[in-house]
Amino acid sequence: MEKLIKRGAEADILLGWWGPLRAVYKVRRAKPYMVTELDLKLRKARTIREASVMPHARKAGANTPYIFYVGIRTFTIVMQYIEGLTMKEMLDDKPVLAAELGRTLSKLHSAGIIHGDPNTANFILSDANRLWYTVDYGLSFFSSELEDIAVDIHIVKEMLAAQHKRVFQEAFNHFLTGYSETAGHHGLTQILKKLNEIERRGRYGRQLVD
Amino acid sequence: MEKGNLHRWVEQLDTGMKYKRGLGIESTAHTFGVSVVDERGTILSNVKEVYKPPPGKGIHPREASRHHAEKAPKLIGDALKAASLTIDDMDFIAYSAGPGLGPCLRVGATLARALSVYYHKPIIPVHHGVGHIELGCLLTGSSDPVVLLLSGGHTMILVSGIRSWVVFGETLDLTLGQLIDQFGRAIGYSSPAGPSIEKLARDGKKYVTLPYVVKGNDLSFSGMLTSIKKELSRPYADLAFSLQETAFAMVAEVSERALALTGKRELLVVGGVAANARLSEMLNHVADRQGAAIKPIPIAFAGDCGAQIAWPGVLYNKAGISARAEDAFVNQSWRIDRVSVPWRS
Ligand SMILES: Nc1ncnc2c1ncn2[C@@H]1O[C@H](COP(=O)(O)OP(=O)(O)OP(=O)(O)O)[C@@H](O)[C@H]1O
Repeated sequence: MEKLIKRGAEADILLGWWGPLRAVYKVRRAKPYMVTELDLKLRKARTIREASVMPHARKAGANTPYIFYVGIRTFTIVMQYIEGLTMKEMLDDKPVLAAELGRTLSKLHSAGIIHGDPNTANFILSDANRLWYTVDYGLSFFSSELEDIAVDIHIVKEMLAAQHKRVFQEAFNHFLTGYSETAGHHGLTQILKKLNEIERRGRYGRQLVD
Repeated sequence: MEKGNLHRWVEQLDTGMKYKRGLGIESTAHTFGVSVVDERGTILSNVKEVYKPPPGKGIHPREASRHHAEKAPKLIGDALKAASLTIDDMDFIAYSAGPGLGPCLRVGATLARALSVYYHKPIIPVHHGVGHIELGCLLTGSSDPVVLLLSGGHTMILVSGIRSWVVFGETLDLTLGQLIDQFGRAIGYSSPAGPSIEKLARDGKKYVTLPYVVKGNDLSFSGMLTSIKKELSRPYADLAFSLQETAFAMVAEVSERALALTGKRELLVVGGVAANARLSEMLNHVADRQGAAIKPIPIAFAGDCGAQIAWPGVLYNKAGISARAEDAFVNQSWRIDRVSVPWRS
């Protein structure tokens, strides 16, 4: 009855019903290429993490789908279906949308939540109420460390550069503007300094000798 | 004239008249390699010597550079001879300008500069990582792939950008090669330890839990190295097995993400670690699941070699780009996303 609408890197997204409601079934399927111990451990941890962080994210001011059911043993989360386009599909024509990504991420960070995968594909504009929803909390965790916050932003920057190359600079500027509107206790300057440090660590002068 | 000779003569005339070709010199780390490639992408020769540090030791930059300097003259001669050409027949001299070890890079650059000045040839600095990628594209016929670059100095996923390669995801600390080498050294293997760890891992039975760290499209291996060093009382085979399973699964996951998010249909795997059979097996699954074709490159060209420098040399030469000998630089920490790659849009 459920229909596969998306195959992500870690889960199948199926569209079905939960009682009378439209629902998304997010099923983390076994990865045949991983050793079983690791595969089970990851799927379980991410299912639990996703289900437990989402309500906190909502409290922090980021709209997230309501969860209807969590199946730990089947690695399944059944949640509200958010019908609409993702930011990934719209950003190239409207780079200013990245500000919304910034606002949401900043709210999460201020509440001590690191999203872990702030991708434009994970932001959906609901047709029903014209609000932005954030999904995919499988890699999220609780932290207020500057390092973790800056890595989350590094991911945004890298993602914009690789997946929205034609509007990258503009979109990233909008993102930063949006982010700074609701700055948390780490100011943007401090975060950007850390970001710079992380980028150096990553791509510059990787020491071949150690 | 004998038939064989005639044939050869015609062929030489053929290449001699029509096709530009150049010399590529690779000397970023362990390998000193020289190759001649022509504008059709025919690899006319590809020779190399690899410096091996003593067991349990890492690469010593000055020792490696001494090795390269000793082998260089003969290898350049060999490469030209194997291509049945002389240095006068070259249309350019390309060299690896970075990133890599300073002393090693300087051997290649100095030689290239000397040849360029003495024989009046344009000189072309090539980024080592771009070399891996472009040679990979040539050998596998990929046009617009998701690239997994797994060399000593890089652990990255890239996609083509606007006249450049763009980083889709990368390691935030150690590279995969460094992780393997440092673990190898901890158990007494010489670097590069990839092949011996791969062999050892085949006898591993028990999976030891190690930190699995994926952040968005980025990876982190430093926690894994710290953990595994605390487990050295266990059988080394189990550790090697667990390290590969965990680290490769991380790489597989971000590759799958890249394919899912970009919708690209080719996965190109380049760099020394690409030769690992277990990794290829995992990536085959990944490509399958995402409806993409995996493009493994022939083992002989997976590791560092002169052809990875000569071929981009051809591409730059076609685009009319070269440096003046006095500007021929080396850059130990040259960022791949800062390299101009005019033939990519
Ligand atoms: N509740 C929902 N309503 C509507 N669409 C959704 C919902 N949840 C997820 N999606 C869509 O499916 C896509 C994949 O979902 P999700 O990111 O949760 O899976 P994943 O396998 O973790 O993805 P990734 O490839 O990023 O790892 C999302 O990017 C989003 O576009």
